[in-house]
Amino acid sequence: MTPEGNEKTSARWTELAMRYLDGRLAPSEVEEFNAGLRDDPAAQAWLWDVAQQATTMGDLARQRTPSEMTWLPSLPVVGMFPNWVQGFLAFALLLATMVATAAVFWPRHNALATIVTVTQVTGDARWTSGGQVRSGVALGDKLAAGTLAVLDETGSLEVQFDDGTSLSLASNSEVVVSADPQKQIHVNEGELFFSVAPQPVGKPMVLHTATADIEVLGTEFAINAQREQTVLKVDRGCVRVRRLADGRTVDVAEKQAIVASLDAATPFRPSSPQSPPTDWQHDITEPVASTSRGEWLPASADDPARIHAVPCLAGRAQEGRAAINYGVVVRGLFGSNSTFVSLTNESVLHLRYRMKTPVAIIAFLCAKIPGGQFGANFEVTIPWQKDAAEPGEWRSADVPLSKCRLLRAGCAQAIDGTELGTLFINSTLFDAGLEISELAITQVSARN
Amino acid sequence: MALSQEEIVRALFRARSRISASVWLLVRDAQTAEDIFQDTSIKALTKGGPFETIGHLQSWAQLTAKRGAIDWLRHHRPTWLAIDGYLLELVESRAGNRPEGPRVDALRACLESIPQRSRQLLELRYFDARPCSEVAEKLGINLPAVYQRLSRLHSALRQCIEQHLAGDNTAPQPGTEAR
Repeated sequence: MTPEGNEKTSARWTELAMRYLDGRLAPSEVEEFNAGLRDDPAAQAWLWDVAQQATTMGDLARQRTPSEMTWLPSLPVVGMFPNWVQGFLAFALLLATMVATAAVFWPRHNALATIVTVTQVTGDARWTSGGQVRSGVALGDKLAAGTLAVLDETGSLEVQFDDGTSLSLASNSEVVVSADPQKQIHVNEGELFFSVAPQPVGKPMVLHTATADIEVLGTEFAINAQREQTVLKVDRGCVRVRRLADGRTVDVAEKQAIVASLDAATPFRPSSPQSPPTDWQHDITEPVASTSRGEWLPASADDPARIHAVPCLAGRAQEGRAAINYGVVVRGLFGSNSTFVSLTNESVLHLRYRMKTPVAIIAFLCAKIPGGQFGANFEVTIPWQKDAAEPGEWRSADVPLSKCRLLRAGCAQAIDGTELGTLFINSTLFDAGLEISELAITQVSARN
Repeated sequence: MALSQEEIVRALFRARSRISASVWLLVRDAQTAEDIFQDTSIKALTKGGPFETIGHLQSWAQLTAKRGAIDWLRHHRPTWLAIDGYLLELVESRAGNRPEGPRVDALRACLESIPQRSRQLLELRYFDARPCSEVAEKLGINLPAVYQRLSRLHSALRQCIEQHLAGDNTAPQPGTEAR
């Protein structure tokens, strides 16, 4: 008896149900599946019956004798043999049981074996696995298979496998890593860079995101994975990408990029990513994008549209307490470029802001090199301008980025030639009531 | 008065079918569902605080097992979607009160009576726990055909089991329409 309702609906819903049970239900199909289940008692009963049948068949599978397994030949009856042979067979069976028992426990032990070493870390990085949690991951830590996460706005983490394959996580990124029998990386969200050593034949490294499966044999590439979209940029080598929405597979060559979204109607072909422009202005007339942070306030009779600072996790203090900075975060939007402005020695950060408490502002910049690999972290201080108030207590600042301090070098040591991925304007530990009405990076001062 | 260990074991055994089926709907692997049930049982026996009633124990076990299933999904199948909690409760509400033993016997009898091709499909999917894509490859059919055949087999097995349990020894053979 199939679920009630017209045959077409039933056939469609049962197909969705089978896809759910097979782990292949797409996010776009969830609502239809849930609606069918919610509204139809017959569908609920059908699904429960399937669950009972499946678990019962699992029980029957565990009870099978070797002769009942359709792919194995029947075993001879033991009693046909002389006693000494029976004794030998009994001992062999005991030995096999001991080996099988060890095989049950050995993988469990191996599951705790370390697979990566931390080669670089800033900010708040965490490792979890099987109930164990290690906060404040440190340089040199050896970690087993599990979940790696960088939790704050300014942190980063780099780990390396024994074969030299390295994986870098940017701020607010989370992955699940394993290496048995081949490297598997599940990217829950965030921005990552991979440098993959040649992998054994037949055992490529495989990445899974919400929208794509990616197979890697040996290459360097970057991905930005969100719930609706995965952006992949290949720096060296070739990467095979399968879009989950429709199963299409595309090879992405060196210096190319591709976007895999949940919408199968969108183009799915490699393209040559363009460098972002050297002039950029943040659009504050609309609410903050999902990749950025800050409370957007619309224009009123007295004030322009602006973004109000919010608490942001900015690492952990030595005693383990979370370090909260109050600020506004701007990140690259979706598309083949997750960087939004190219930086040069002539770049100037323009800011129009106001605060309730007179404190200095810190601008933190996370820059990448073309191709997506981590470039460097920089910081510049904007001192409080006592006598520069405009109507409404607004103040303007134009800060040459050539004055930035290098916090952490990656593939770059200077601003020139990098591309900006994250800009974090904050009043550090104080909630100074920071509001920003203009934010831009240009090649000349906005006042000229 | 707190339940004794023997009472805990008996109560969990009676609830095993229901708990395992709920967990299976989350993890979709019978062996994993069994492992989670066993872990839950161990926790029940080693739990610090006592269980006052069987209802308390079974509610606790159901909740603990489902949490274990969600944790397993997060670690082993992070991209898989899990059925919503309230929808799972709706499905669980369709559970009957029949004892497990006769149902197992009925399913075994029904499986023995289905055509070889249909039995092979079920064995690959549920005895060997292979994903449907591997089943399709093994049988030389496409994935939608596997889904269609499985859904028809489940419906037919349900009818066969019900008729066996009702004492109808001439129950029609399931799977005859699965080509």
